[in-house]
Amino acid sequence: MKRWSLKRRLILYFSLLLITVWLASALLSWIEGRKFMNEFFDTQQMLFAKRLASANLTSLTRRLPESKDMLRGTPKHQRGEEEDDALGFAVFDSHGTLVLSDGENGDDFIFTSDSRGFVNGPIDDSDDEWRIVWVPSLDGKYLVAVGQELDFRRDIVFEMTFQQLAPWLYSLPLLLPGMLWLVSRALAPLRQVQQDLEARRPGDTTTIEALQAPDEVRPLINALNSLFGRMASLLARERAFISDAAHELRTPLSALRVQAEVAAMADDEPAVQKKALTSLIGGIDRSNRLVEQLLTLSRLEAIQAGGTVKTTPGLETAALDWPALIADALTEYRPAMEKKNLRVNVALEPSLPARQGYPGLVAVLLRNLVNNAVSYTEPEGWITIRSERDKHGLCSLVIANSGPGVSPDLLPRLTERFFRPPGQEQPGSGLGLAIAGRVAELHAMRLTITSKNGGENQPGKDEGKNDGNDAGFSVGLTPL
Amino acid sequence: MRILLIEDDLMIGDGIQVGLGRQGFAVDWFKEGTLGLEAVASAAYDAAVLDLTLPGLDGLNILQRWRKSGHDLPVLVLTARGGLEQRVEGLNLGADDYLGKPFALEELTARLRALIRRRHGRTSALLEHGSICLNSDKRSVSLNGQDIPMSPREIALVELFLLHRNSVLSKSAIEEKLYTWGEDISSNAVEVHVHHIRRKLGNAFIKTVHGAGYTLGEAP
Repeated sequence: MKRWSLKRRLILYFSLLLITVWLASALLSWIEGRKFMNEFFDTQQMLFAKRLASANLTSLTRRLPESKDMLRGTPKHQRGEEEDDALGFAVFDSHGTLVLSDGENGDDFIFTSDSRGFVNGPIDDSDDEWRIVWVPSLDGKYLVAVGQELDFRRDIVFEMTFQQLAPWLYSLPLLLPGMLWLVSRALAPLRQVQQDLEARRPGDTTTIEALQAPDEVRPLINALNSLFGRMASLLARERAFISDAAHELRTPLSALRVQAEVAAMADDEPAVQKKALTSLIGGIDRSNRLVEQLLTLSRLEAIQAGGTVKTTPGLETAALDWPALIADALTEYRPAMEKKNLRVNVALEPSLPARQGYPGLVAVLLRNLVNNAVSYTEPEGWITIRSERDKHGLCSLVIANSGPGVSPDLLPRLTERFFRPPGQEQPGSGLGLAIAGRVAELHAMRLTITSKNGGENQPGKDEGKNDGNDAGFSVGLTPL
Repeated sequence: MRILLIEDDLMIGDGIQVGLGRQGFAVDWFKEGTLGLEAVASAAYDAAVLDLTLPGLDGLNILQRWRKSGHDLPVLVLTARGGLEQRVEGLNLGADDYLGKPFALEELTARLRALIRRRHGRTSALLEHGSICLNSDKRSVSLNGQDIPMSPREIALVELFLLHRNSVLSKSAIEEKLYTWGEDISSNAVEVHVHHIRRKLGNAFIKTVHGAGYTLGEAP
């Protein structure tokens, strides 16, 4: 039933409705007909009984001959079509002796002295029930009985009802193909849409033309068109992303290729070869990081484009344990920090609001911010991670470092993907802050980037305090 | 051959510098646009390798300014943006050749040599001087059909003499072509190279012009 076509449904429902209506109207007409017939025949019986009761019964023949005997000799077409159960009569005297009858069923009427009025009951020699009206004659000496078989009445009512409904039943075979045709015609716009959709190539996001579509189909088409619109923008984004990604991969690939060639040709100079091979390994790590960042970004874009997070493995929501997440991010970069002799200061208030979120993505965000801080802070510098409350009590997280910072006109561009401020000596994909920004957005947080001395921060002015006041660069995460 | 390289990617720049260096080129490498722009006037470069996306000053911008101020050295442009439009724009602005990333160092070398050759009005990789023959692509020198083993710098010096047949090359001009900015040059480096070349190809190959420098001698 679930998978039935609209056409089948419509025809089935309509047929059911038709049959139900027919049955109901048949029932009604049967009830009405029976009432009418009862009135009609009761009147007739009563009239006949009155007639008999007013006759001079003593002078009448005791028993009438059967109808066919009485009509003997008349031409066949004039004998009529009498129904012998239609009406019978009998006249009894006060002792119950039959004094007069119709010569047929009247003989079998059963006399009881207290029978008066209409009584339903059996007669002799028959299983059928009869309706008999008992009326005393005018002189009181006799009892007149006029009866009719109840089945006779029922047959007539049934016959009448059936006759009335028959044309409807006969029309059913005509109605069904008609309905089929009408429904097919009415559903043609849907079929048109279906054909349009089937003929589509996968990347086709043009809208469906639906000038002829009826009002019922138009919302569906509009919904489809809006879906195509969203798909078009998604596809465009994906294409732009792939093109960007391919473009960005060319540079690390060139580096790998060049260094590999140097390593291959420098087999007579071990020092040159070793240096090239070391660069090669570094280059592979760098490409790998770029690919990972690209994947993360593409995942984030898919989530933002309305994809469900559930479809992405490893991304489940949970309460965010900020101190643990921060500690994890710091642990990962501990060796790099020690190499540059960076000091790290973490000052979180004990009751950081535990928001619900994606710990996997927040970990990526924190790793990116810590990675940036470690990469761009000068040796002997410091990094601080602290929580801050504004005057409304809103708690935000700040990651700051004593690095030189970034010139103010470049700040807004930092979260653009693939954007890197010019003159970078550090390897990087230009995706870290873009990813951080998107993760923040996904968690209803705002990423604010500030740079105090516009790319020329002199570190170490406030060495003892290390409270972030002389931070060259700081990133804040503020709930919206 | 002295090459000016302007490339901001550390690994690529380093690879090109080392790789071309081993092929007998002297490569000066600048990582930033503005410095690269000015460097062109500081030495007699035979060609430039220019990356397009640069901090400071964009590669196409540099090219445009060079051409405007009359620097006609061959320029090979490196780019990750391989689109037709950019290639056309680059060539229109005066680039001599284009190489899309990722590229093969071998191809870069071959194209640079071809550019330099054309600049000297030659189409063949072979430079001949009597029975001495230098193959500038294979970096080999032969005497009477016999390959003579030589260091890349010696080959570069032989090439220099063969390319400037009728001119006298001063010691400083030779140093400028063979060495980059950062390299330590011992005061008698050129003399040592000339001595080695004469021993391998015959004393007459290089003639000393007293007080002026050296010039190509009689063909053996």
